[in-house]
Amino acid sequence: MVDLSQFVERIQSRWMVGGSAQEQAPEAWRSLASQTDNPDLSLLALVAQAAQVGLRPAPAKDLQPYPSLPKLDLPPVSDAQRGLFRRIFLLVKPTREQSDLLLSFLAARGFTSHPADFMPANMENLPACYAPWEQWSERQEADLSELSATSWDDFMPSERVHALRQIRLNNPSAARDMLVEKAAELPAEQRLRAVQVLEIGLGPNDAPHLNKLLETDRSGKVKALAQSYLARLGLQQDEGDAVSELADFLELGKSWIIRRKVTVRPKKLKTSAQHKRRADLFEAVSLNGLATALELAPDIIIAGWQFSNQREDREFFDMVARTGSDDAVRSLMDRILESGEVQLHVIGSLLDRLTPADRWARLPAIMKQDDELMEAVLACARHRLGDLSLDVLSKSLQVKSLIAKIKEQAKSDKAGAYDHVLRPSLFILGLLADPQAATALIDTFIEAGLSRADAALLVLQFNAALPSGDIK
Amino acid sequence: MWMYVDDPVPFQPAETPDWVSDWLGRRRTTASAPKSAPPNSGEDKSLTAAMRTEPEKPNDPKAEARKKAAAEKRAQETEAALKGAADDLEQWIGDQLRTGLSAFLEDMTDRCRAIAARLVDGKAQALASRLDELPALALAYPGEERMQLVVRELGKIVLLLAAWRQSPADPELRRMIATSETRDSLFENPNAQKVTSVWEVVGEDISTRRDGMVSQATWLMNLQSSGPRFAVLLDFFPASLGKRSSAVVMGEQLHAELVFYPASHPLRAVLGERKSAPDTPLPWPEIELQSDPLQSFLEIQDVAPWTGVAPAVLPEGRYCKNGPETWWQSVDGQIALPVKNAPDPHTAGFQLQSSFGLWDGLRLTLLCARTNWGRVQLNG
Repeated sequence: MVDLSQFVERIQSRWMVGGSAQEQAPEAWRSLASQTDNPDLSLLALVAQAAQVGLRPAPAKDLQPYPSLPKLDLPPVSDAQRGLFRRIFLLVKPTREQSDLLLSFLAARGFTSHPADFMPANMENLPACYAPWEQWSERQEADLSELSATSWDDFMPSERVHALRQIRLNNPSAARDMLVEKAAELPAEQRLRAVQVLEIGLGPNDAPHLNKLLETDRSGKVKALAQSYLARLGLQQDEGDAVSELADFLELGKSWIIRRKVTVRPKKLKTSAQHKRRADLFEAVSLNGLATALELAPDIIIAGWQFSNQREDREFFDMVARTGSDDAVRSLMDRILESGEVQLHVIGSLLDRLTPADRWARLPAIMKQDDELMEAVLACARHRLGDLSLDVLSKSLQVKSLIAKIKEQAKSDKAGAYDHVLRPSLFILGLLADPQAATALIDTFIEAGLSRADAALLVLQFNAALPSGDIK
Repeated sequence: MWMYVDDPVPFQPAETPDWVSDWLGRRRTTASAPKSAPPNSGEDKSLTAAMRTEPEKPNDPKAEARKKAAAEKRAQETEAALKGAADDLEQWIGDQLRTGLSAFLEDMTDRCRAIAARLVDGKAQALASRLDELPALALAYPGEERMQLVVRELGKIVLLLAAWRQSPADPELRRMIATSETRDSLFENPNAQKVTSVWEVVGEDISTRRDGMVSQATWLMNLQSSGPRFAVLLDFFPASLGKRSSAVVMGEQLHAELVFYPASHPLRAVLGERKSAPDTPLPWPEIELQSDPLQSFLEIQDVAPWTGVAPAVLPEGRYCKNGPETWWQSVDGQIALPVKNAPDPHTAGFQLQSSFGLWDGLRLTLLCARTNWGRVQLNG
């Protein structure tokens, strides 16, 4: 017995090579086709129609349903705002870093991206609420609160880090014990990110594990991290001749105003080789080690450092950020902001060391100094996006500078002359402001000369339209 | 001019020859050419004179008869050209079968272009477009299915030609062979079905054709019970004009009158009068899990077997993997259809509560769905 699909297949095979397929057709079709002027064309019509209505494709094997995309803890942006959100991606075309910031801003307001509008390709730097999406198709959803030494392998790397951070905040020793037991199995990059969790609540109890990492870990980066954490605890290793060599590159003096105050400044060097050597030493030596070599307390060095030029300041700041205690970092940061002499783009490493609360507290001072792309402002507000008031923003140098540039652009013949500055700055501003400030800033910028339809205003408009969600 | 300088004697003033006047009369007037003053009519301009009704010219029966005869002649010429094109096309399809479809598949772009040019000469523009698009349509399918698609498409064309030979005046068949009625004539046509309902814009299919035109098909679903369940608004415009804004927005529900082109199964329509949109969005019609989602496709095939694609609303289902292919499967696992437009990885994880798509006999193109993540567009 030959069924319909076999007949169709035989006839098609014949036509594939060419020639009449009457022989391959069933008797009924053949007699029907033979009554027409062109039997082959009639057979073609019969085959086409029979295949169309009589046959249905069937899967070769059992179908495997795709796993469901997990729902996140925070709801997606509501339908009313999704259009604006999509327009940001369509017209502004944010970079990956900007996209990550936009999603962090959304999370701060209590929302997440709708997957049909934007699905982040990489969840590494996103808020923890996105962890369930990471490679969801490969595995079942896991509860982040259940991370333990036994469930360690069930978690994706970024989920693991998020979970470890939560555990470390509530129970530092439990997180450390888990690291001691499991971190060695991780590849170097993942191990580095896992060990960085120890930065939260770093204390003397962590020293044995850090010493062990310093002695036995295979990764140079992990060793360097362990060394810097030990230095922050005042437990630096023997730094040999390097500290005294660095001390020789610095000169001590007395303040002109307060004679008893010690000043520390970098010596003027003659050759680039000397500059390079000093930079290398700053990278190798700890603040406590340098203090010992100079026979001064670390806080005296911080208080006495004379701001000179960007390069030497950055080298010193990076050393303090890497090896100084939390108090030392805070003191140096306050001195920098008080002085107003330092370009803010060299303080990134120090900002990274501050807690979110410390950064937020210093934000108004930074906003009065940073008139560029607001990187420092963003670094300070990263944990409280969408929360800056109009009062703070309107006094800031950035907003004043932006208004001036918009006015200048409106007057000039060249449309979009300052777009390269305005667009990224307004993007960041849109993430910083609270809804009321965003609304007021839109009006201010339009008054200054920007068109309401300008894509540069989209993030501010999105911010103004986005209500606060349930979770903040 | 040089000859005149050497010897001006042969060049004497004379009357302007007729051929010069004729030539000058046929020349296009340029902006720079001085315009001659209008001949003075001898009367002053007068509002009364302007408002005076012109006496109607008496009908000239001879002129009318000439016009009618010319129109009839044109219609006969068109019919003859169409029949000639149809004969050529049938001959061409027979040749492809005789020489082998494997050779056709290797050279289908050139072959289809050649027969499409012949069909354009024979005034069968619609058929020409269908043939011209066949290679692009076939190449969108994997190797084995390409052959099935070609057989299906050529078979449907044979059916269409046979039906048209039976009733050449049928507007639906003529539309599929030659050209469509104009929008105005459609509105004036008493046989055109007019349906006022709430329609949801459920999908859009935009493609650039080989002739440089962009085809924009906008699919609407009737959310009320009366009248056709689906409608498609077709628009064509030159690709050089760029993207056109549509009169309707994807996902929008509109209360409007649609005027359907007369057909055995009305589907193509134009947007008539729009009324105020419903205050609250209407739900999609309920679809029973056990019902066959391709039933409407089969019904269309019964009355218009030359139709290539038909809309379908699918019950609750999921995207599934079948090797490298993606399938749609109902939640009870009873119905499974291969999907033409593979979804993004994250969209594949949506739970499709009900979906709208186009079934072409081989594969399903999903256009939109109501999901556990809300309503989503599935084709770009």
